[in-house]
Amino acid sequence: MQEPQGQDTRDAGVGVGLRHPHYRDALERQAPIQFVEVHAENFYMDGGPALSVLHAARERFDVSIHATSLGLGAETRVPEPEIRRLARLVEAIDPILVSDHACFSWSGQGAALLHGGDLLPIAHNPRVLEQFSANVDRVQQALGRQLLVENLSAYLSCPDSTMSELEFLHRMCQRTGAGLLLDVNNVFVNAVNSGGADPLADVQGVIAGIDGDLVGEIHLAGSTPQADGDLLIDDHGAEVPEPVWRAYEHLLAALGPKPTLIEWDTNLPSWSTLVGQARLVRQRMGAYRG
Amino acid sequence: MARESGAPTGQRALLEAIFTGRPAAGHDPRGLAVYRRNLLASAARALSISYPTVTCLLGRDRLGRLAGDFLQSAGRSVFDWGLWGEGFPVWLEEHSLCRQYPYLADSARLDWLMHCAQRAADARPDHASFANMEGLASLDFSLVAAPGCFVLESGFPVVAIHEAHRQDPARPDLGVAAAMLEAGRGQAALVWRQGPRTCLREARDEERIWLQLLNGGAATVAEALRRLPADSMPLEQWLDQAIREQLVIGLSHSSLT
Repeated sequence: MQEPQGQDTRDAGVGVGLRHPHYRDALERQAPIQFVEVHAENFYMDGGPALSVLHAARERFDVSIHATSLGLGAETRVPEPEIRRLARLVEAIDPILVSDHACFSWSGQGAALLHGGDLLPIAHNPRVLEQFSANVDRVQQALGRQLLVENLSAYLSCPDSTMSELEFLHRMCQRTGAGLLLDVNNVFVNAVNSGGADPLADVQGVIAGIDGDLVGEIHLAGSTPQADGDLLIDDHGAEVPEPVWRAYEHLLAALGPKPTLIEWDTNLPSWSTLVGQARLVRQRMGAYRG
Repeated sequence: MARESGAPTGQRALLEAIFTGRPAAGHDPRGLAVYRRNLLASAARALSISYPTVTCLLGRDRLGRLAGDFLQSAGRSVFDWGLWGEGFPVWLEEHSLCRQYPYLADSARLDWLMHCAQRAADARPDHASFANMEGLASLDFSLVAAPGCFVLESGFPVVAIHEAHRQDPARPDLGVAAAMLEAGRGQAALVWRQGPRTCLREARDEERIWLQLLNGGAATVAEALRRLPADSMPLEQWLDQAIREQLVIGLSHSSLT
């Protein structure tokens, strides 16, 4: 597999997810952020106002494109037209980062295609690694650049797994030249839902095992608290919780600053609140720059 | 992963369990429920974006339930939620709700046309092509339509219904639409995009031949003129207005380039 061109991470900037209700604020108000991240599928149209907003945002900020639908862990090849749609957007926007997830989302072909519209868990074993790596490689070849792959918050376990997600992702990166998008909240959610006595210690354990050179971006987010006995849902619908901040500080100490994004997708706050979360990232990053 | 004895396995089985809500062997029901709730919420959100008038007519709760039923019936064979739901108007037509609200399916058709127009490729008016028209001896040219241009013929006052909900989604004034419904009056809806703005108005009977020309009903203006009904608006008058509305954004003729 060919070595892809690396992501242009420039300085380790701070970013926020850009969602429809914030378009005007993002384009008109000052904000101490270097980049915005958008979901690729929200801009797959041929033209129109949404795409114009993205081009305008590109004039103000660096842009990171985060795909959510390729389902790189599918048992068969990702359809070529879907890869081309991502490539067309990447070519038009020239983002600093491009990413998708360590998941599957769909099955079947043609009329039998069933797309779940979600990030579904995959087994971590050599067979899935083979297919996953082949899909990542095809995407990177089409984009002509590196892809970052994000670890998953998963609500089901796959009995066919023979290795940890982290080992799976490390091996995939070694095979393909892809990078990692480390979502700290996803690690935390999985730790909470696995029922361990000390989720933060579990997260720190995962961080300790990460090859920092592979990490191209960090995601931070919050989850809505659930009733006792229910699973914690990674709904990106709240401020970053204290344990995730502490895990992030641990990560900064271990790996140094990396481009970091505040993800907020549901129960959207005001633009000021969102930017306030980005400020907290910047403060913590500053403390570890030396 | 291969299927055995026709029963889905592996990823397919998990997807089908999430779509149907049926238990899947070896999977935690709590986790399955999380994915199913997310799927239904995403489907409802997607339809509410693509079908804003239908959402207003039915309310979010009822649309959410319909989205679940539609998802069960139609599945999801596209990668992008923004492209999902094209078949919703046809599916609605067969639904018992359409006996209560007979205009629902056509309102949905209009919503989808507006949604598609909003996503259509950008195109700017080609002023130079209009300037060249004056020097043309023949009418063997065609009209270049605005992005998303389409006419929807309906036996219901779909434009009035749509406009009432667009102006005030929470408390629409449906007086005009109700009067038209009472009188059995339908409307032809004309949809197009003017720059970033998606436009909608009623198409008038006297401009029908020219709109057909825009929608590919005739190859050239000369051909449309040969088929011109007696009560049609004169070309010059209509074209002047259509250019001002950016409904026509250029003329296409081999000698114009």
